[in-house]
Amino acid sequence: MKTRLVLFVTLCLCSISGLNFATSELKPFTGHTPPLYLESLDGESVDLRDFRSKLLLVNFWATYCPPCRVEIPSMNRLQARMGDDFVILAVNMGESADDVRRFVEEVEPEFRILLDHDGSVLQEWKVFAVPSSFIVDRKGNIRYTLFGATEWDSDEMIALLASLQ
Amino acid sequence: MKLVLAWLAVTFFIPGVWARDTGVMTLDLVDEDSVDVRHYKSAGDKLLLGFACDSGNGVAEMAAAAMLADNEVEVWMPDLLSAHFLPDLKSSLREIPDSDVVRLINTAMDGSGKFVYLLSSGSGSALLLRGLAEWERQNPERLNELGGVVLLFPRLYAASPEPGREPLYIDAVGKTKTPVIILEGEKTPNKWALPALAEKMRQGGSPVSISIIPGVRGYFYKQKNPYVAEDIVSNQLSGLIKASLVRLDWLRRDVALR
Repeated sequence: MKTRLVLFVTLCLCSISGLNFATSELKPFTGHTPPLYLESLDGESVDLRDFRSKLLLVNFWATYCPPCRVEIPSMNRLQARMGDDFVILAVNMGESADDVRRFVEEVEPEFRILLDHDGSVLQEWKVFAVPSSFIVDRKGNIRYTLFGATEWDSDEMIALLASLQ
Repeated sequence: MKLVLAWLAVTFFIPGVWARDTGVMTLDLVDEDSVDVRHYKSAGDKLLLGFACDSGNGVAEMAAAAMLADNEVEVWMPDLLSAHFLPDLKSSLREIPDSDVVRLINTAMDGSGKFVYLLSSGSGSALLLRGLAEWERQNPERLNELGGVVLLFPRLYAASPEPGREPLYIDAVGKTKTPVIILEGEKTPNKWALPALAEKMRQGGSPVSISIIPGVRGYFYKQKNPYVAEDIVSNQLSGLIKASLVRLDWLRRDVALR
């Protein structure tokens, strides 16, 4: 009985701390940063180069992707915690503006939603799984990538982002 | 009374349930193993050998097989997972030897006298493709006797695609010559990798044609909460497959004319 209790408590602790495990799944990346020039859902033209000197999270997502929906609230919180020096660009993967708008009205992301109608940008960024994320430093270099959803506002993630120049 | 009417409706009016020549036959594999094959007999000259993820036990797959048999395409669905006492998991498919696929293709070709086409979906595509590559290696003189391959939402990655990196495929990709039709849902990130996948497959000699099905996700006929479009397309699965067989015939003729 005692052994079972210890096992149960251990499993509980593991699953609680599992919320923070995702940070360790960030993969360091070295290589070229592809261009990103797209129109936002609000009709604004957005160029990655306009955000030089800011820290960026470029997130590729789709309305049919349940993990994408799950991580959006933590991305909202991350944006709030990081302030104006940090920018999230969430690139929808080739869906219609109407589909994206319906999703946005429901899930309420508080950051820029970009439309990659023909998939040309996601092809250049080599995104073949969803969600896929890139952390771009202030010099415009991709520093980390992540496949899958995560708790973006975890303390570990914020510490890592804060450490990037 | 309502129950009786429902029973009568199910028994007599649902396609594929009544008066169809279906059953299970047992075929020999290598090393004294054997495999149960669910079959849907047909008088037509085409035979579809389906390496399904769920061994043909899915409702949509069984209904499609029955409809195909009504439309002159005999269907065989070997249960290779059970043959090796494996659980119905993606990882189990890696445990199935290529030799099983080779043996089944030969048995279907020689035993039926029909023109054989191959079908698989999702992770089962990797099993089919590596078995096909081995069959082609052993039977170079028989390549024209095989009708072709239909892959429904194939998952042929060697590992999960990493953001920013080219996807890596299993070794069998690019090692076949048989014509391939790929059917993929519009609502899946995998569709964006299809041009690269097709190019890689063509390097081995396989002519490849891709069709994107609007409004559906991958595994569309297995979704627990299907979109309206997925319900519609699932009901038309047999038609999609039959049309793919016709397109494979065109692909083969294109190659022969070159």
